[in-house]
Amino acid sequence: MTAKLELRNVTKAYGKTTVIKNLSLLVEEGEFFVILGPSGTGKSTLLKLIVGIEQPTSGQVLIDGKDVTAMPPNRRNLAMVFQNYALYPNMNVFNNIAFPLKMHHSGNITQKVREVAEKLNISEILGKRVNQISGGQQQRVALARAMVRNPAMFLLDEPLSNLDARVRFSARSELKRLQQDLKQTFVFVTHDQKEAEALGDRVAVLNQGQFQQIAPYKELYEEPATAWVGDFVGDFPMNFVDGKGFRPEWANIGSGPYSIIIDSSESFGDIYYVFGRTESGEHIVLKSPKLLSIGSQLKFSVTRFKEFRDTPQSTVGNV
Amino acid sequence: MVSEYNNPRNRKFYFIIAIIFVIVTLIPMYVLIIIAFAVPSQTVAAYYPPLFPSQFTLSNFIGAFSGYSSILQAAFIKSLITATIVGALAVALGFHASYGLSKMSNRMSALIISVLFFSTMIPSLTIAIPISVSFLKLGLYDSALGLALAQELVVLPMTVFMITGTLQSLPKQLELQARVDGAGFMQSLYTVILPLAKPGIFAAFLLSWMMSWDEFTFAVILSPVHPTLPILIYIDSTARGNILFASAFALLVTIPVIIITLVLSKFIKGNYLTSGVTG
Repeated sequence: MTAKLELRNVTKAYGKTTVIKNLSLLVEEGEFFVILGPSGTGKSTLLKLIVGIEQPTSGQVLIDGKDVTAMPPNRRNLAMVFQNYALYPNMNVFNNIAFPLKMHHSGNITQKVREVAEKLNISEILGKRVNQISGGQQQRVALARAMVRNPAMFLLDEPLSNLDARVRFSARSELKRLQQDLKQTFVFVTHDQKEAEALGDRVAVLNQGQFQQIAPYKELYEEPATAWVGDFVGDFPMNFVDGKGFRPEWANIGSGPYSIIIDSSESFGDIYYVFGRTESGEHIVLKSPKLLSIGSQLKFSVTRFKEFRDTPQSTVGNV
Repeated sequence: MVSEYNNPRNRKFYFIIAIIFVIVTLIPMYVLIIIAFAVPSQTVAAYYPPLFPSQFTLSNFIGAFSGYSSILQAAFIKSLITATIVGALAVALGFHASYGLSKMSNRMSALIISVLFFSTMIPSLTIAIPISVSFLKLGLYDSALGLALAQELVVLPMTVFMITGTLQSLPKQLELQARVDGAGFMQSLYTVILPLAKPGIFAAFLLSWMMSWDEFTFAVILSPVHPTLPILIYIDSTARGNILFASAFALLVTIPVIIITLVLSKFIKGNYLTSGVTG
């Protein structure tokens, strides 16, 4: 079973603070949809509105065209994985996975739990307590609990952020494979660019309760809709000269009309990123095949510019 | 956790404090034991009783039981029933009240809990008399249930305070997760939150049970005809003037407390609360 998700003019306010501002969204069946944004921009609140733990102040949540705004979370048939996994500490792994089945009075519980455990490679730990297993295993148990009753949609709130860097990488590709396997709708919230790039069919960039742009990650990088998106998306903020934006890849170094004084450089594999400032003080990042000395002048030309209606403002403080 | 608790010098310090605390607690107990077991000439009948008596006897116990065994038994059962009602009711009411309080802002729940404690600020004696009048009309006078209801006044604020603390310390996501996993409101309350609050609930049960077990003021006014154990001991040591028998009784009173503490203690030390919830 897989479902379509629609948000219509959803607003959520806590007292005077409006966290979600008039958001509309359509997630297609079987899509891996990523919501990317700096922390504190309402990403988790948005998930809670979809899953029904929170009620929108105004607007509607529709699942497969059906208005579920007033429906309690236990009747929406969605699955959610929290950032901290929220495994029930008083139950062992088996009972954690079986819990949604018990709540839905489903039959063949043992068989269903065993099947999903096998799929996620956690058959050996079914009898263990949840505090006896590793972070990676906890994440799989949380996923297994989400998968076991075949929900209409998966909602994942930064499920990889508590894992070690190495485990996180393999868990990420596993998650992608799992979604392609299940062909189910995933809504995945993260502040991590790499996760958004690797996982999302489409990525929605959320800032201060509003979507800045909804597009595949490549398009966000190449064709940001606003200067804010250009600034936020990518390993480095977009460069700006004369109010026009460009990526490090769009510049050729050596000669050209622009120049910077080099402040520092970092090696990234076999290339170097060079950080410097123009005469008017704009911060610029460029790519260089060889190490350049700090304090020297570097001339460059830009092959393509992106122009925006809004003015660039730094997102660094928000990240 | 690397902290000052693990510093060897500090550990020695804590150890000494613990020993002093244990001695202070156990000395009255020791006095009670020697009065109950030693011959009277070395305890209450002596001008200068020795710290370590040398002659022992069981005659106090034999005397206590042969004279009063049926009264003692009745009082024991009355105390047991009363304390169990008090503990069970305190936990049943306290858990639900605490759940509501744990959903409020900290400031609001703290305010309500302090209002609850108002009832314990009034001396029990002051409320016991009007209660006894009402109980006479209701037919609750001298009954275990009536006494338990009155003792609840003292016990319940404490219980609510303790369980609220436990519930507030539970990770919020667990309840939300249960709702998403298909549990209704009541199901999540009883299948997820209640088991997680067990340590606090057992601690609250134990404490209210013990508070009832040795409660005096309400018991002496509301249940004088068929007394509870503390009242019986009091009558024995003062009215009948037999401190020897009273000591034997008093020692017996502590045995159920020790048993129930040992049985429930394994539920109280629950440090598994936040496991499985990383971050």
